Amino acid sequence: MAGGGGKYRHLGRKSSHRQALLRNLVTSLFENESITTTWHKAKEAQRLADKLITLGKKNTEASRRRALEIFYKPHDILPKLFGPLRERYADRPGGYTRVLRVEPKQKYEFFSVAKGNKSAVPERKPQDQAPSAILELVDGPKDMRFAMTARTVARQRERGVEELNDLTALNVQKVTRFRKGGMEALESAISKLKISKAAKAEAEVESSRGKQD
Amino acid sequence: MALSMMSPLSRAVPQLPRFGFLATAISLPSISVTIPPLLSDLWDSVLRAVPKKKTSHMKKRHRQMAGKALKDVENLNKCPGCGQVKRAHLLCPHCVNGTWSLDPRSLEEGFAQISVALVVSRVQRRNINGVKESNANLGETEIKQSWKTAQTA
Repeated sequence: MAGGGGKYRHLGRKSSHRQALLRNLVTSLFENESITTTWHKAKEAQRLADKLITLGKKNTEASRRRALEIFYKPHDILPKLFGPLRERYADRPGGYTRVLRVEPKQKYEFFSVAKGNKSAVPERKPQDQAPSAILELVDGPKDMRFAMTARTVARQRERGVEELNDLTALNVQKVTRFRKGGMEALESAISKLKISKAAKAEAEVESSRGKQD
Repeated sequence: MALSMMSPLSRAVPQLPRFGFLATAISLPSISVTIPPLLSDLWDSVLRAVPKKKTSHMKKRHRQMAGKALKDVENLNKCPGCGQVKRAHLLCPHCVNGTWSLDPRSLEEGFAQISVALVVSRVQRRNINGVKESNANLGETEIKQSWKTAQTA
C-alpha cells in the first residue's frame, strides 16, 4: 500500500514487528477460535489464518513444517489444525474465517497496584476508538454470526413471524451450509435461547427479592 | 487667516537657507523638526501590526476547532437479535457482550415487575415499622409510585 510496496497493510510496523504481530494474532485465533482486535489487523490476520487452514487441509509433511514455522505455540495448535479443524473445513471451499465489525471497546481496566492486593480498585482508561472487529473461525464454537442468527430467528418466532427476511435467510444459509448437522445445530441453539431467557427472567426476579429482604 | 496665507512662504523660507551661507546655523534645527515626523510615521505603522493581547485559550481553540465538530451518527438501525438500536454494519454491543434479552418489551415488563415488588415491600415495611425510609436510593418514578400506593393503601 504505502510507498508502492506489497498489497498489504503495513500496520505502522517494520517487517519483523508486523510478522510477529500476525503470528501472535493467528496463534491466539487458533487457540481461542475467536479474537477481537482492530479491523485492519483482523483483515491482515485473516489472510494468514486462511492460508494456515489450507496448509492444514493439505496435510503433508511440507505443510506441517510451514505451519510449525508460524505458530508461537505450535505443539498446542498443530494437532488442532491438522485434526479437528482439517475435518471441519474438509468440504468448505475457502472462507474459513470471518471478520465482523463491532463497536470499539469503551473502557479497559488496569491495575496500578499489584493484582494480589485485594483492596486494589481497577482503574479505567478510555480505549483506543479505532474501528474494531471480531475475527473468528467459521462454524466454530464461538461463531458469532451463528449466535446472532439464532437470536434473530428466536426473536422472530417469539413475535409470531415465521417468514425470515432476505438477510436473515442468507445468514441462516451461511451458518448452516457447511456445518455438520447445520440446521439441527441452529434449532438447538434457538431452543436453548428460549430456555436460558426464561431462566434469566426468573433469576432477575429472584435476585431482586433477595435484595429487598 | 494670515498664517494660512503665509504658510507656503514660511515652509519655503527655512529650506532655502540650507544650501546658503546660514546652513550651519539654521539647518540643524530644521532637520530635527522634519525627520522625526517621518520616522515616527514609520514606527507607528510597524508597531500597530502587533497584537495587543495574547489570544486566549478559548479563542484559539474555538478558531482551530471550527468546522471540526463531531458529526451525528445517523446510520442506525435495530438489532434483529434484541431490538435495541445499534449502528448499521456493526454488531449490536448488547448481543456481543451478552447483556441482551430477546425482546426489550419483556425486559421492560421484568423491570416493571421488579420495581412494583420493590415498592410494595417498602410500603409494607414502612407500615409495619412506622419509620420513614430514606428515598435516596429510589428512582424518581418509584418514589411517585410508592406515594400513590401509600395513599391508596
